[in-house]
Amino acid sequence: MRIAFLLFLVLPAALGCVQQIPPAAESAAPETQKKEKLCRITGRTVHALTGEPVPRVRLILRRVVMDSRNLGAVSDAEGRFVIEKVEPGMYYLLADRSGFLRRAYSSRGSGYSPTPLNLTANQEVDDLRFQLMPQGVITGKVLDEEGEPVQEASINVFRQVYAGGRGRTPGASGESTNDVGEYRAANLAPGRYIVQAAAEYDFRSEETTKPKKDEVRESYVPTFYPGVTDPASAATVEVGPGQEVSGINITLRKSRVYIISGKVIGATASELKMMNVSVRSREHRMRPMVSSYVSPRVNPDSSFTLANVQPGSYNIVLMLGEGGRPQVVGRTTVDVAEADVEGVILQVGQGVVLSGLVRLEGKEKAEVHGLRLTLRPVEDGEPFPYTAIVKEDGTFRIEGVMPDRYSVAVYDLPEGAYLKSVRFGNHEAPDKSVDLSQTQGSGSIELILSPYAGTVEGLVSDDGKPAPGSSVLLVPDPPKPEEPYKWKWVNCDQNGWFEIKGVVPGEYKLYASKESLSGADEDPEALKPFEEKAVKVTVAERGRERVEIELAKSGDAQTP
Amino acid sequence: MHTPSLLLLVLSAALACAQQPPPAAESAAYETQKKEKLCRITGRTLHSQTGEPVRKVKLILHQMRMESKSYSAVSDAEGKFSIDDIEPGTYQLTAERAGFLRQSYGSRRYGFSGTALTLMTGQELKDLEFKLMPQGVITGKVLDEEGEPVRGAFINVTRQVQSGGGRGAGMGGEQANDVGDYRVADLAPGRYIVQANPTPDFWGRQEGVEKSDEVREAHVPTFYPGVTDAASASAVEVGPGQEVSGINITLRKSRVYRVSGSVSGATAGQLKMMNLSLSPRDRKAMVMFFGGGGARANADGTFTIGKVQPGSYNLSLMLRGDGRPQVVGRAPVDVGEADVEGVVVRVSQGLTLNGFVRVEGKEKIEIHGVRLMLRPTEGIGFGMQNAMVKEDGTFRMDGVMPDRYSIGTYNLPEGTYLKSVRFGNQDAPDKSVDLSQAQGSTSIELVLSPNAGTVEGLVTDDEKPAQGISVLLMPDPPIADDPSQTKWANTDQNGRFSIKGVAPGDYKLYASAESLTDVLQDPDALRPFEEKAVKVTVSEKGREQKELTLLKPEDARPK
Repeated sequence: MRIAFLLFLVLPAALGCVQQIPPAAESAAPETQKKEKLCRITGRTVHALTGEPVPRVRLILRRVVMDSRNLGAVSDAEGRFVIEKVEPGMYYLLADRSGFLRRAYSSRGSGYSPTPLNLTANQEVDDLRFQLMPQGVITGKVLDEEGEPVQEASINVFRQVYAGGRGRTPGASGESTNDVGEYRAANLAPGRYIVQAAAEYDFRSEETTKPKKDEVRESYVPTFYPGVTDPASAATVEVGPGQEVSGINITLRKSRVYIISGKVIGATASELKMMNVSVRSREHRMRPMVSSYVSPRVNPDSSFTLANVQPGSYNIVLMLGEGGRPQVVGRTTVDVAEADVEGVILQVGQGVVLSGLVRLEGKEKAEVHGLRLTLRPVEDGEPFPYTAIVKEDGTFRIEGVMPDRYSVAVYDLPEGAYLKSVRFGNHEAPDKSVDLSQTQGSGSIELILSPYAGTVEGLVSDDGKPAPGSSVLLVPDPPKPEEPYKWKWVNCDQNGWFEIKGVVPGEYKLYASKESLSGADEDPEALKPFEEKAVKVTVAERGRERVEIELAKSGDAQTP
Repeated sequence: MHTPSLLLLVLSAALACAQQPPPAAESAAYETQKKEKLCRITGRTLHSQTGEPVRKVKLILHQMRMESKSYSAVSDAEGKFSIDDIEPGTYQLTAERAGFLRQSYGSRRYGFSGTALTLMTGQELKDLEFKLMPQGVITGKVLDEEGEPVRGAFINVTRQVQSGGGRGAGMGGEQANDVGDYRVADLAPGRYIVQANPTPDFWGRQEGVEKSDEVREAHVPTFYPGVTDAASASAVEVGPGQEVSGINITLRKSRVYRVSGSVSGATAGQLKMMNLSLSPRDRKAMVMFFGGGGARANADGTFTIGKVQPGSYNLSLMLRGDGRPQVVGRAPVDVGEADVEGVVVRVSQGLTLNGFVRVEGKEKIEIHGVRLMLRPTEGIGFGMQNAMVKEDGTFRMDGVMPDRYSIGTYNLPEGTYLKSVRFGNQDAPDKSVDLSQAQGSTSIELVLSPNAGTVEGLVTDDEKPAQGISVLLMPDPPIADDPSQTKWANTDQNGRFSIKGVAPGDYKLYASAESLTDVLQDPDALRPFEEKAVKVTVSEKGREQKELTLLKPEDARPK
């Protein structure tokens, strides 16, 4: 259940951030003029393989920059649909029909990255051919070493993105096995997949699992089909268009697990009652999306015990739960090799109170209210960044920040603006990261936004012809881990044209591909096949760079 | 699904906090003697229908207090298990095995019930027979009016309580898969009502291209086999271990309306972060209410919520900020047989409530960590406020919407109860405060008394002690439908129960074989038994002894 929701959140979010093309400028035209400018889209929904019409498809026309005003239509028995009274702007057209992939319209056909529709005043887009790809499905069972079903195991399906490459992107996640150990991962595009199953992580220790000398403890670990723990040895599952592949049974493997124990220092008796300790792996690649982690409480005598920990490097985080919003009050790092780890000390820190001010260069009063900013530890392993929302007067405040080095990012920026610099304690912070590891009590930072971001625009072509719907990615050259906010993704519109606004001045490389390049920031290998056609571009303040780029050929692993 | 799980959360929090057996006294001397004092439980896990041993059952013994210890064991090929070196205390034993209900020892139903196992110093509980009930399953398909599968519909299964007096609790939900199939497992034997709730629009809410005079219809929550009224739903009978298939539900369409209006008093920046959400005003309807009914505010302050069924609602305006969204405005909306236009929701800064908690008398009692919850007396969901009492006895709640609230207290020190609530120099009746006229900031005082009473006793069934029975102590007459006013306990292996921290007053005691989850979530469930309940009057520091007989379906007052 929670899962469906998660997906629900992740999906629109993914679409939302992949696309950063602002809507076509909307003048404050009076209502009377508005009517004359309205646009219309007509088309047909057809089966991607047979070309036959697909009736009763729900179509939703949604602005690229989301708002609540979506338009909708349902295709008729011949697959025809009409969407009228559309205000000019940039839109995605999305389709929903059981048995078919839930995808946005792509001019290249089903399975490719979405093509935004750029509608200018009075424009009529006619005879759009919306190809729907029948969905692929993988089903199977998760079993224990005795062949008995395992219920509530989380299933993650990763798609192998390019032939021979190591890249993988999540294909489907959030499924879990039912009471008889069965799972069903649907809505899969044709392709090659690896499937992973993981039982619930329970880090609680019971009295009976307390350390006893020389005892070998084992626990289930995330396992790939057919029954291996290393993704490189996992068997691939080939899913054809509309194919249902069954019998993908996974036998969960057991592996040695260890115990981490220690003590909490600096907490009052009543605080101890409200504390728990959680474990987070510091190796985030291919980390399974597990539906639940169960964390132990701190004992009244201030000791804690974490059981069932596999070898690896971890952040041990001390949480103080209050009003449903637990707060991190202590943290340490532990490496688990081939032995239990004892005597770990978790010191309760008050954390730093960080006060901040956001201002827009050259403007006295700027609309910065409502901007969202995040502080994320530069070293990974902390999946939940600290967040704040800027108040009306441009200030913000984050309490209880643990000593560490953080990179700062700002979201929902006004159009054409970018985060120019971060000042921390009277110094310019390098790479817009702030080092709070030595800070005590409180600190203050200032974020300076510049309204003079650059723009990169251009045309993507394929064999000399415009390539609508291509995916374009702008990456700082060279990429740095501290600068995730510089990466920008867009898709070409129906004419092969793209525009990337809000670009921080600097050196970049531009990549273009038929398929989505999202996820490339997680996997350095992902861009290799596209290197050959990548274009270097230098963006100045207020600069407008025009680039023509050819689609890379070597990256095509996808069958349309 | 998030609604029932929310309810469950609230409930389990309430239950967890209500339960406060004292920690065993721990001293240095205790440590040295500890080993001899430890206890042991041995027993067998058996199939409840066949009596055959069940192997590979995971047994967990939980101590029934907050900072609990737990012990575990797995039964062997003969179903035998043994749990050793247990500290004395009160425990609950639960069992988990694929194909069987997750259940507590001695419980007749799934849920919080179960026999409390009291282990005295050095005690050995031998030859416990843990009878495992095989799980029931309901499967079926969700279809649309053309017989095509509807993917992703949320399924809500509700158990009918034995007496037929109430609807019982939601047994949780599942989601139909991509071909409309659903499967709800882990069901105790009984009669169930199955409801399918249409999927929220996958790609975000959709306004649609609608003409103003057009008749709008949408799929609405539908009960098996295809009715929208709970009373006309067909119950599905599930026997022990039975898998009932073919419970197909055809979603019904019904006329739906639009609620539109505007937000007043918000800045452009705030509008970007505002959501509106409709929730039924009738708290009982909430159990059956699913998602939907919401929209974002548009940049010009207007909003439109589509697909609303006729009914009475609260429209809550929420501001997304750091963490949890905050309610910043509210308006009642009644939807009849027409669209509702021109609803204005005003942004309110909300009240700041400064509170002080004190304990009557001279005793020094630590109240840091006591939790308070404000619940609107009408409706549920978006108006709850939480606070924790600080070391100095104060607490503070910001952004409280003007409304009437009842005050719930959790985590109270042992033997104390909330005696009175003083608001504006007056004792608040029913411990509820009317903040609907308050402005700016206001203060409130809560007085705890250390003189709570205790109600304890024995439950019998056919003149024998009855284990694992839910005993509920409800104010008489009942105070609204506020589960935090009800106290409960389960009988232990000797049929005994003890309910501490009881505020002086008149109560009725019920001993029910139904699970606590069922009876607490459905206030109507016990109503037919009112005449058979045992009256008890508790005085300050009073200790009341009562003998109860287990209530049977035939004890229910005929309808």
